Amino acid sequence: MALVAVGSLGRRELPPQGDLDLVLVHEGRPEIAAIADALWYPVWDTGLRLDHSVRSVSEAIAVASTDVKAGLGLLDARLVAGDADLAARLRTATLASWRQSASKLLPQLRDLRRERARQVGELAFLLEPDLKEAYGGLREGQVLRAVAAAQLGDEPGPELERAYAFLLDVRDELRRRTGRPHDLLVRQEQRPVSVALGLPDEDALLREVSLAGRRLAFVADETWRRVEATLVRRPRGRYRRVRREPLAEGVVRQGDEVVLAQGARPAADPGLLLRAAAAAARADLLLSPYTLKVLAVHTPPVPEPWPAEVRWSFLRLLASGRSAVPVLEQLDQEGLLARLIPEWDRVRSLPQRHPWHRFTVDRHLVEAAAAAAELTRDVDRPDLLLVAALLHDIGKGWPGDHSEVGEPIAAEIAGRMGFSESDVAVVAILVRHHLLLPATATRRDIDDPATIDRVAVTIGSDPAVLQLLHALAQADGAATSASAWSPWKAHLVAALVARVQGRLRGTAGPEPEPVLHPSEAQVTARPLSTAGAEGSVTVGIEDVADGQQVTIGAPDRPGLLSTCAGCWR
Amino acid sequence: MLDLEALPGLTRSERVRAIDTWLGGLLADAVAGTPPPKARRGGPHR
Repeated sequence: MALVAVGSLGRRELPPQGDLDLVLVHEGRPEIAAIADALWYPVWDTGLRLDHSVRSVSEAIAVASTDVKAGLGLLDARLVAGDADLAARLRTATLASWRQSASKLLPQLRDLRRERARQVGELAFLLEPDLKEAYGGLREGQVLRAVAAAQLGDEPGPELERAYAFLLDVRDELRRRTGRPHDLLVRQEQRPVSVALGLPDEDALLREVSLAGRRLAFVADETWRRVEATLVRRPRGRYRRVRREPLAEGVVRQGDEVVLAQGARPAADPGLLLRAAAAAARADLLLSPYTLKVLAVHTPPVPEPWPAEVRWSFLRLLASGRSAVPVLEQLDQEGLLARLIPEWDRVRSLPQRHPWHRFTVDRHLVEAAAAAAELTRDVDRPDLLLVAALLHDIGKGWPGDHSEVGEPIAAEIAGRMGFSESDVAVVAILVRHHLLLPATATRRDIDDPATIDRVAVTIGSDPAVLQLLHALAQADGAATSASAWSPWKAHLVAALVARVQGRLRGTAGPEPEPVLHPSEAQVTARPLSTAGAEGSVTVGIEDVADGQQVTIGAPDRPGLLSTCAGCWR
Repeated sequence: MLDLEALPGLTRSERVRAIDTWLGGLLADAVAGTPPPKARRGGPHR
């Protein structure tokens, strides 16, 4: 018989307070049940949590070939004590069974991960991430090894192993601190964990966790694409003809990805990288991993200022909207984005400790550019809107007020991109004042002529800047969260813009249409005649011209107003 | 004996080694202390 460890003990990763997952493997010994009892009871007596089973090799394989979680666990099987030959037979049989059942089990595994990702979120963007179950967490490392064991993916490389090992270190330190078997890196534990790991502070910890999670998620995404392509059933004896279609000079669509054409010369063509990236995003595809690596190795530095063709490709990429996001992530993961914009490194995976923000600074900037792409028809200079959206928070990578700090940095980048001096000045003012409209609209009286004058003077009384700032505010809000850009706020900003436009033209403009909540159920106002009755509270919500009116009736008591106000965001 | 209180303070590899050693001892004790089942009276001879 053999005592075999699976799970984290099998992988030699057992954290403090970790479960012991053990299998007693035997070849039909009659006293096996008694031996198992004699083995498990002392473990239970210590208080350690135990997941145990007693199986023959054939029983273990029968379970592993139908149950994806059991199969995944047995892949980590490691002899602890007993018959080494028997444990080796179990391992060989498990691998053979896993490879044979891969076409059935891997789609189940993929669906399990997608469901967990939907429930738990992405490790890279959570302020209190679940180190194990969040997408890009420890589970992804285990899944990637399982896919490699099925011979459908590469063994995790050194970079991925480093990311995985870092997450293990964080989890160990977290559990050591809390003394609990939990993997949620809660806010109050972030500082002590960062100190224990020799990092400067909790933001540095969260940033490293985010970078590790992003790497794991990126490789997992790429691996699942390969697995899906491999597992597509083809008619026996026939080969599917791979579709090839030229997309741009030196760039070809091949099947479901973008590759370089045969005649492409990446080392002699500094524009090829962004041409390929833009072509991929426009076609809603991704660059093939091999193409990405070739471009990373061979692409020469882009001359500064960027040639018009390079700038045009970059703008085409940004203008692709949502489909640009994964392509920009590809460039980022290969270090190509930071090569084009070195300042990008300062905001990579930088956490934003504000409940409104869904993303790290860099992803927020990419999302803002994608949102801006939806608004390019609303402005006269879509190119400046896209670049300003991508750079509006770049100053968060430095100390100080990010709008002020970001202004010269954005101007420097726009200059290197080859924009004219006057265009650079517009990008700079957009970055400097990207919060002007929402901050003024929500904190000042927008009917006060002094408020309108102040906004007009701040933007240099330039209607084009006002138009761009309005679109930028919308893109910024959409990329932040629904809470950050409510219909109420959108309407206030639009009303302010209308007033400033009127001031610049010298005539009052039309009032913007009120924006209501088209997708939310409207609460019918209760009759207020009962308001204030003994102990009762009534709430009425009505649609009105410029939003919604909330009426609350409640018995008076100290603190009532602040309590009511605290309910509304 | 396994020193439970010391486990969290160990490195990962030390922790795994400590658990492995302890489990190996438990398995040896379990096998040594568990005689093969006796044939039941009236049952078939083994």
